Amino acid sequence: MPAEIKPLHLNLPEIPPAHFDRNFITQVICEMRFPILFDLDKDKPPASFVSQLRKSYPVYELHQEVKVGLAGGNSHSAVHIFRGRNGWSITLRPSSLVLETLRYESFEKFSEQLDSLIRIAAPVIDSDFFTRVGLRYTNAIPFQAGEIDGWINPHLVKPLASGLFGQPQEFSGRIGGTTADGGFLFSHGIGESSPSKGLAYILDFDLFKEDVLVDEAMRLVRKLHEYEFSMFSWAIGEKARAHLGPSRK
Amino acid sequence: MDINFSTDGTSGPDWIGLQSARLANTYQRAPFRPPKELPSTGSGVFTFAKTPGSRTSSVDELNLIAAAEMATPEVATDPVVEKARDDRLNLLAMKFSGLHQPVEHLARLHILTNRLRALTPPVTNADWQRCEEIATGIADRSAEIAALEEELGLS
Repeated sequence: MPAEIKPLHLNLPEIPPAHFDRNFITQVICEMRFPILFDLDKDKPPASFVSQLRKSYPVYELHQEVKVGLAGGNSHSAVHIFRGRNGWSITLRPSSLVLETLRYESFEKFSEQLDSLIRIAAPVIDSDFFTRVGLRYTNAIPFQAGEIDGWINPHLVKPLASGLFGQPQEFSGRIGGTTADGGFLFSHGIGESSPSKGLAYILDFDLFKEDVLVDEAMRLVRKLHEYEFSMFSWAIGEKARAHLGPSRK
Repeated sequence: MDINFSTDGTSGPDWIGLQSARLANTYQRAPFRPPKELPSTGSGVFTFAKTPGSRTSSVDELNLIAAAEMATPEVATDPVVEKARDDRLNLLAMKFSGLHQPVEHLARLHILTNRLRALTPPVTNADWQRCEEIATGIADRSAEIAALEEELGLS
């Protein structure tokens, strides 16, 4: 009997889009890297960029990132942060642009913000392509000690659910691979959703693609979101699914 | 002697200045013997007929003329070009520092190199035009020579 040929790429079934009233998402980040621009390594961000963001992201902060070199040479880099309301922020570095939210409601709302940001940033970055586009979803699924079973896919937490190790304080895993459109890094394990909420099982999905035309970025992000949702749907258990409630789509 | 190196890394040392200095040195140190076909003042000191004055000043003037003829015209003083050159130099310095460079640095280096090639081509339209003028001039002179040869029965 010939050996079964395993697929090369991520091979999870596609899940139709859904919108739940509740979610476990603690953070969503879309990072777009571009060819470095020394002009952005200054105390002031580009005026056109600031003026178009001011209304939605009124709070501006300038940080200095210090990288310590092995040979003793340190390098400083400017980090421009624009904070909006309700946990939204934009971070501009000399070679990356990040949209982040701590209050994720829906992909539609996130993609709307992202589309607007790309339009504003396109003339600033002086490049018609991104060197890398990454979309990262971090979910924190709360659970009581000894009750992980049912919240997370048993394939991921078999040692925890078995009870053989008691109630471990540490457990983690990481899977990295490719998709038909780039790559993924899936990190999972016991963590803290927040100091007040106690233990949570973290599901961290990072989907990415390198060398992306600026005009193609939004289409790609939609595709990355589809991969992410497939992985999330596979990774959760029945209890978590019930917690999400019915989809409104 | 000052040797000025250009800051953009695209051209070498200031060869014109270097050559002028070398020529001047040579003329000042070597015993000067005027060519036979050139007129002599009879005093043992040679000066060019059209450039009265000391021997050194004549040589300096010659050097200036030679330098002017050999000088490469300034390619551009466009701030966009200058900025692209500066940034490219920074990136080249990082690249050759031996440290690992992120793809974002190499991508910008590639963009700037291509941009500079487009903005400051090694052969400009003006260069092509000058070549055409020279070619036309040569053709005209050749025609004139041919006509003279025919007129004088030399052809």
